[in-house]
Amino acid sequence: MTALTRRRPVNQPPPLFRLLREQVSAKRWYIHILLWIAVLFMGFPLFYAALVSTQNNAQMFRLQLFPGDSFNINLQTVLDRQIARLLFNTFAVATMVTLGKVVLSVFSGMALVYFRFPGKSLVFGFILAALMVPGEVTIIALFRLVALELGWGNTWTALVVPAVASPTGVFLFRQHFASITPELSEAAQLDGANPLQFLLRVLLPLSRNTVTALVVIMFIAAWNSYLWPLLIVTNPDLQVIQVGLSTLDDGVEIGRTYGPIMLGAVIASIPPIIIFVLMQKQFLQGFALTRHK
Amino acid sequence: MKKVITVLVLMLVLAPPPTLTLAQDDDRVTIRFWHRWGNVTWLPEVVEPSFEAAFPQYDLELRVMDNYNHAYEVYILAQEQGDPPELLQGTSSNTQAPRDTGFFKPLYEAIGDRTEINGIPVRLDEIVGPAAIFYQLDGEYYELPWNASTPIVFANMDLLVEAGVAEDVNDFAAIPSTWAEVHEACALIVDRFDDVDCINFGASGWYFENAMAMQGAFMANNENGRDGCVTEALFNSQEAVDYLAWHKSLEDAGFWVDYGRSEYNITWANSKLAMHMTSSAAARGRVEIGEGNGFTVGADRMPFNQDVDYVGNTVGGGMILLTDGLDPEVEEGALTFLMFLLEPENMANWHKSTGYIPVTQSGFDYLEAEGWFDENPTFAVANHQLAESARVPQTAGAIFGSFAQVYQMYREVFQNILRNDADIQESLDRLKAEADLLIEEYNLLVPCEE
Amino acid sequence: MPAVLFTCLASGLGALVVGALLRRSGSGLLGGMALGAIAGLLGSLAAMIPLKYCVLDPENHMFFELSILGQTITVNAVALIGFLLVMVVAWAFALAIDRLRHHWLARSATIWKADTAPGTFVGYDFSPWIFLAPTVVGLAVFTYYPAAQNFFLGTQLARRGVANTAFNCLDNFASLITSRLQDAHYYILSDGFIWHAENARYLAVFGNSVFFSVFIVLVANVLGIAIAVLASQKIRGATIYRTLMIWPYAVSGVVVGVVFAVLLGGGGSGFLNQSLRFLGFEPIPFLSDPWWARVSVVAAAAWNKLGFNVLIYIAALQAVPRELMEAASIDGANAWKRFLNVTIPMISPYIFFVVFLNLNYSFFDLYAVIDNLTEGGPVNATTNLVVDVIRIGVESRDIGKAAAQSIVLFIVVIGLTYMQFRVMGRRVTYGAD
Repeated sequence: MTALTRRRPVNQPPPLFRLLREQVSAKRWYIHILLWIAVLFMGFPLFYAALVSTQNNAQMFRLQLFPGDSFNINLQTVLDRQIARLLFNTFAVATMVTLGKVVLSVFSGMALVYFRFPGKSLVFGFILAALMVPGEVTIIALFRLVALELGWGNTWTALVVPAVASPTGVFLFRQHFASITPELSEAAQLDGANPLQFLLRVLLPLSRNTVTALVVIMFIAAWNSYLWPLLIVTNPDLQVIQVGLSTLDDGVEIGRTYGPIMLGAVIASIPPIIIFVLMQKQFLQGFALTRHK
Repeated sequence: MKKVITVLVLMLVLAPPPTLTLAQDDDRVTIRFWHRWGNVTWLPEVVEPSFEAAFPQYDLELRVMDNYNHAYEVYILAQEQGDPPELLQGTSSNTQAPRDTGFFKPLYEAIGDRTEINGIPVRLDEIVGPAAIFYQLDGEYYELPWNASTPIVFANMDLLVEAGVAEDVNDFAAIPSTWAEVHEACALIVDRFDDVDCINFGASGWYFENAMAMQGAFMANNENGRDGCVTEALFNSQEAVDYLAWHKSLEDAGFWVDYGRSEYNITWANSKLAMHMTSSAAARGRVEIGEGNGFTVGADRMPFNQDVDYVGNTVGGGMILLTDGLDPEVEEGALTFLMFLLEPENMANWHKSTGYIPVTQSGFDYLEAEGWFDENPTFAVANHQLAESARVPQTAGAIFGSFAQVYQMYREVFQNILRNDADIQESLDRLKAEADLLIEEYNLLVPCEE
Repeated sequence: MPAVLFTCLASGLGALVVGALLRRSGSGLLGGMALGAIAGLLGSLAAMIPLKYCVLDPENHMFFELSILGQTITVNAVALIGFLLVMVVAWAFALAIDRLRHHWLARSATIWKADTAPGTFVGYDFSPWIFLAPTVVGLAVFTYYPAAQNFFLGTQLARRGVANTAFNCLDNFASLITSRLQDAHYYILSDGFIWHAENARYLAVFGNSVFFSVFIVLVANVLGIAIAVLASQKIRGATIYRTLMIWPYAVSGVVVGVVFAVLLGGGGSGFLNQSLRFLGFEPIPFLSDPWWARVSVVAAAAWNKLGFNVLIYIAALQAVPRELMEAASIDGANAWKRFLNVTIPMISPYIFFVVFLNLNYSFFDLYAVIDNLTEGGPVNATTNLVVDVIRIGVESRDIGKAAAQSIVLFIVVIGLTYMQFRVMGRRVTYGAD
């Protein structure tokens, strides 16, 4: 077994990201300038949000371009509105969703590649066809189902369970497993390994990049989900950050306070940005996998 | 992979754990109230402690909702899950549909003929003018009027003085109060400044509703549904056409501006907007921005049609709904809190924190005695406007179940008239036709009981 | 009686249409016609029995006027949609029957016979089912069942908070066509209308979805490629530049909407407008003018997606073989020609991939951005199909009408997917779902 795991699979797709490593050559200053413009252009909205998050309304209305003095007040406001709890909730829900998706997808992908059973192509078609149905199309009926028929309204169950069956994830793992040479599983069977042992000792170690790619995509998507929790969760103690941001906005009637809204927006953006930036390499490798199949 | 784990662990460590609120093991009865005034600190900081101090047997739980509509949606959801709050803040444009759900108990049934609850006097008979009739049917209260407001015009008095509309910054009477006067004032303002917008208000149902009431027109048949069920909308009357023609003429002249998504605070703060017609509940916010940016904020009544006798305004804002099927002691607590809110001092402070009118006479007298209105004339306008309003079905607002849905259609049609130059009469005819369809559909699902 | 006539008519029509189509593709005329007749029969029954043949009832009518070539004709929308429905279902039946006929004889057993790919585990009959069960059940319950439920709800009068429901034929669909509250008009840039339809509310909403999709895809991809070309130059600090540019992908729609609302909002006094004024330009009504509001949504959404596109395109550009470029420059092609003739074709599979991901995003995932940036206004100018579904189904609590709209959305998805398969062949994409 140990010998097997060290063997590089023959059909592993080329690590596309390797091509991205720095290749330093001539200094062309105008390219640097253009790139800096692009960087500023991309960065400005959130930079401005961070700026406003330190200001009070008066400073913001004056369009002051340096930090104001109200960061502490704004921070206190968002803390009073339970931002810590919202962040924790979002983190917990996103983790559960991601974990559920990865586990179910690995098992389904494995079933579709390493087993023979009647109706396999039908099952795969059944899963794949679900890719076609974006959540927005079914949301009205899904809401009725979850709230009325299942009675899960206002629970994390409603946030997690409908989300964990992921056709994307199944497809990703099916492609990945299919790209691994069948000799591996044949060898494993000769060694007397059962499917679970094969999965844990051979497949998963070989699937780090795919798992990571799925984790990055799914975690960011789950962290950023808005519409579904907006509809199904009523209790602020269970609510997630994206919806919570809107309670920072008191509407125009009695007057918006922009600082806390912007501070909330910045805080809500930090975790997914960190994950995405750190994991861009793995993210791209997962992407390359589906491209080359 | 290692990186992922590191990051996840890091986040788990950094993510602050939820503050565990251990279930208080006491015998207090919990009264949950879902409201939408997140930034009115008076509610959690003053009302909650003082209520719990006065009635230690109750535990008041306030929950902030981001808007009325969403609050109602999640309330339905909570009902479906069998755990609704005891009290819900609703809005004036969605009055009938909640009554039809059977989720709520009419206030008059809950109170009966009692004159006090837990020692607090029942002040329902003190409730003033249109705020009273809006939430009554055959003289009985279905909901508690609480945050009642009415549209008024706020003005940047410094701009008005500079443009020659007003003599001095305290000359609130110079703020235009008829349709024709708005035109005259705007002509002066636009003439005087290059970059100042004259007037802003929403192209929404509420101003339309008020314009209709002011001219004495009904919104729906059977006296706005107060003398039988609504089967037909009356949105295409001459009064409706006249109002939209006025609005359109302001738009054509470049006097009316719309910032989209009601994002007018920045313009207001920068003295680039002379007049702003909005809810009187915005008084606190308007005045504070004025003080913060060094201009005087004045206010006057909603402009009316000078060619027709003024009848009255309707209230907007909202009311409080009482959940049906509560345990008697819980219901008693909820009623106690409702009556607590009507106490003169609480009424007065609620008014001061927002601009909503004190709905009870005693609340008004309390403020009057304090000299509040003399010091803050901006806050007095709404009360005057509603005091002048006749208590007739026209000012009581229309009640039918799909009214909230029709409210959305208003916006679309009005914007189509204002932006796409659609014919006014024809547009209103279509609006009426589609509203009639919605009314018919609603009556099919919820047969109207006479 | 009219029901029987109707079914016969559908059957005959199916025979004619399908017969003609299949003959063109090489089947026999008679066989095709028989197939068409069966399909028309089954299709009309399948579509009409659940509807209780209600479209034949003259009581069920919602008229709208259609002007074609100066002639105004009045059409019963209920009957029209009923007719289209029968035709679509019949067509689907014909395709299905044709498929079955072709495949049944050829490899009837293959669907049920397990494949014999090497490396499969032998002797575990139940394991794959256990492994698959959670996913299959999850999809059945939370994707397919609600999707099917939509079809039922679409024929009902149903309101949230009201226990009662009532069958109302195809009125929910017909009201989409007959709603005349708003004008729809679309034009190229600002000179001259392409077309202008008065009193066509749903068309306006549909048009917005198309507008957003086209321009978000265009902007995010043109800019994405341009920035990627810059960033993939061999320069110092390329990694840093890349990292500084791709992060907006991770920012949520809510944050994008809220932040852009602050940047663009505030009329003439908003941040961007003050900056414009400072530079000597006239202020722009970003969120209050219908066209500028649409542009604002496109800008916000494109900004959100740009990072992802840049990342993919940098990778794609680095994968273009250097020899090709060198060969082209030896042939005397200048940089622009090299880009057009070598680079673009080489990265075109990536372009298709990104375009379709962006297309799906801009059709279905804009709700958070729009809700927080413009709330769909002004004049519904930024209300797209999804925003409208939520507005009708959630805010107005009119479940039946929202379900009907969801079905229209579903048809759009099928269309997009079909396009995707046609253009990209069998390469299926993945995205965050």
